[in-house]
Amino acid sequence: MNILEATTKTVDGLVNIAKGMYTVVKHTTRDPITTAYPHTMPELYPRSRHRLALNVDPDTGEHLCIACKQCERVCPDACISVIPHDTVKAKSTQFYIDHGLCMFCGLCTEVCPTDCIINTVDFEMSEETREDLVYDIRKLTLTQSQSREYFKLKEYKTKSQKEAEKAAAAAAKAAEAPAAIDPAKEEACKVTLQKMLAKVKAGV
Amino acid sequence: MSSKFINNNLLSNYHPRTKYYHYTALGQAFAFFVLAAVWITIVFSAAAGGGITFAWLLPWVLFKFGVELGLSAEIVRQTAEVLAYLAPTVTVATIIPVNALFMVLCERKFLALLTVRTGPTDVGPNGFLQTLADALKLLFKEDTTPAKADALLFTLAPALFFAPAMVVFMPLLSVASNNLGIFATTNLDIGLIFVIGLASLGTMSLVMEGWASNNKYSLMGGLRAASQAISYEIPMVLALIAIILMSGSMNLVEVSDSQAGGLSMWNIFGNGLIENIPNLFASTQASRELGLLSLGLVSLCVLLFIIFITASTAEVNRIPFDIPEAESELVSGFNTECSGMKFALFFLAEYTNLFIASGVAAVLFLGGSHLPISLAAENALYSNLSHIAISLPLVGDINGLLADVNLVWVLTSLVFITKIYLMFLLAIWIRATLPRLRQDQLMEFGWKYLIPLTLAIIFIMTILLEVLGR
Repeated sequence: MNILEATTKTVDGLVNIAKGMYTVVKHTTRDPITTAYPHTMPELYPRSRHRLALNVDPDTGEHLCIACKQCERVCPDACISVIPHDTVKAKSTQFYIDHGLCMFCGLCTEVCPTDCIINTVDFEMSEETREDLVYDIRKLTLTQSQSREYFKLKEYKTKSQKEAEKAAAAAAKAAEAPAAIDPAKEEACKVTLQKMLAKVKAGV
Repeated sequence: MSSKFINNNLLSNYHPRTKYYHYTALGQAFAFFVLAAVWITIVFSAAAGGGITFAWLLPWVLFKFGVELGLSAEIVRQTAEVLAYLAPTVTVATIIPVNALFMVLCERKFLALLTVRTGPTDVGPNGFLQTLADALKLLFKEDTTPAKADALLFTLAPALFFAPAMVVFMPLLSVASNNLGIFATTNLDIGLIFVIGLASLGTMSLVMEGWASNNKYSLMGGLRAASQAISYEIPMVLALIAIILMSGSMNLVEVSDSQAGGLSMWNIFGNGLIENIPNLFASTQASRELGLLSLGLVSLCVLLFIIFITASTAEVNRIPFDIPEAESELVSGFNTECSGMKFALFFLAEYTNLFIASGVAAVLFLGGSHLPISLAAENALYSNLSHIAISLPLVGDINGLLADVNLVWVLTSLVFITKIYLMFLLAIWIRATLPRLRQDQLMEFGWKYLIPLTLAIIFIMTILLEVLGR
């Protein structure tokens, strides 16, 4: 290796190191990318799938579960058990979810007709025993304000909103006038009918 | 909620959060400034307290009461003398642990800043007590020795690694304290040789530890440490020789004093020759030649600085030259089997070595303990400070060491420590930037590039200095 090549290589190396060091120094102005997790909670997407919970109606506060058992049927891990009320229709007395079995696939939330069962954004579910991971209806059900928040986050519609929309749609349909039939077209229809009837007679 | 992200603090039934404060950038800077001030105060009072206790208080007590207690005058004098000359040791012994704690904290915080993290935040205000907690933890840990290890060497090695670091620290005391009386014994005429000679002793104990651990990773680490030390000692010493040529002295205090009188007098800027560079555009031929020669010498000095930084980074086993403890290859290298205080001693000595390397670089290239102001201004500052002289009651002939104690040492120490910490920050910056070298790359870089380059620099520098008549 001649002197010139060695010199060029040395200078090149020094320049590259200087570039690298400049890049590193530029990073000092950025905010830390790490978070102090136990102290500050990570920010999650509203539709991230974590602990399961049951909604109440955000307006009236009544429980949304109608004991249709669709979630129980669709659950791949069979971790949900719904126990319907003995006498009252569309009401569940008890609702068990074993979070130790749950794999947070979110299928139950998709089949739920009343948007009752949802995945919340709370992922801290450590308990002392496995039995504690089986949540009952009292532990699962959210408060009215939490339900309202989740309905907003997940863009669900409440019962009253749905009814209002239904009423609005009906009103719109009623308001729409029946369209007038074109007389020429009506004439053509009559001609066709006559032809068909004639064919029938001829056939007989 | 308009934000794309949501925070589940409000939406969780089960886990209430305590309030958590995170400092802003300005708050961090202010907190660090306060910490540095507190630390400087602690270090200075500890060092001064230790030094003065041994250099003055104990001899004074001896002289005052020794004879009354029945000791002969000769014994009193000799004991007092020994005590007085122990002052630098005591000072170093008090400075090193406090200093290493602060250095580790600095390193963790600044490395975090450079790599977009936060560093320690939990222990103490803004995590500032983290290293203290670590040190306490290490004190309480069990000190294990592997079953088939050579117990004697295994235990001896950390101490042997720490001892040279402590001794090599001492010549820096006389530089930092502006040749203060109680540190008179540390002002060595062979200062640089002393530093180089003793600093390389530490490597022996790394090999010793690697062998005694009876662990293949430790042994590899020790051998690597030895090969690295041999390879990089040479360019480092050669760089030192070039500086000795320029300063004409091996005494650290004299090298430092030769750079007094402004930024341009620093050795990194050619010891005043940088002022001749505008002569390149002068009218006369002789003037232009002077300018050209000066430019050559100044660029050589900058190159020497870079070489010295590189070689001393390798000497103190830091990234990008930390192959003796390359954690991705050798678990933890030579200290794989160490726990508790053995590990703590290695850790302490490594950071002290880094501090010493930064100190030597500051003395050799960055003007030592001198402010970058003109000589007249500096002398005026010193004379102002020396009005605040401390007059201790002197007894016997030992206390001549304390004849002219004034507060100049505070200023010079502050300047020196600032320069050392600037070099330390540079080392952190290098650590944050460069990846680790492979063993063969390291050897190749040392032997095939650095050593020939430094030899060539010495050769050219000698000629240039002769031509320039310095």
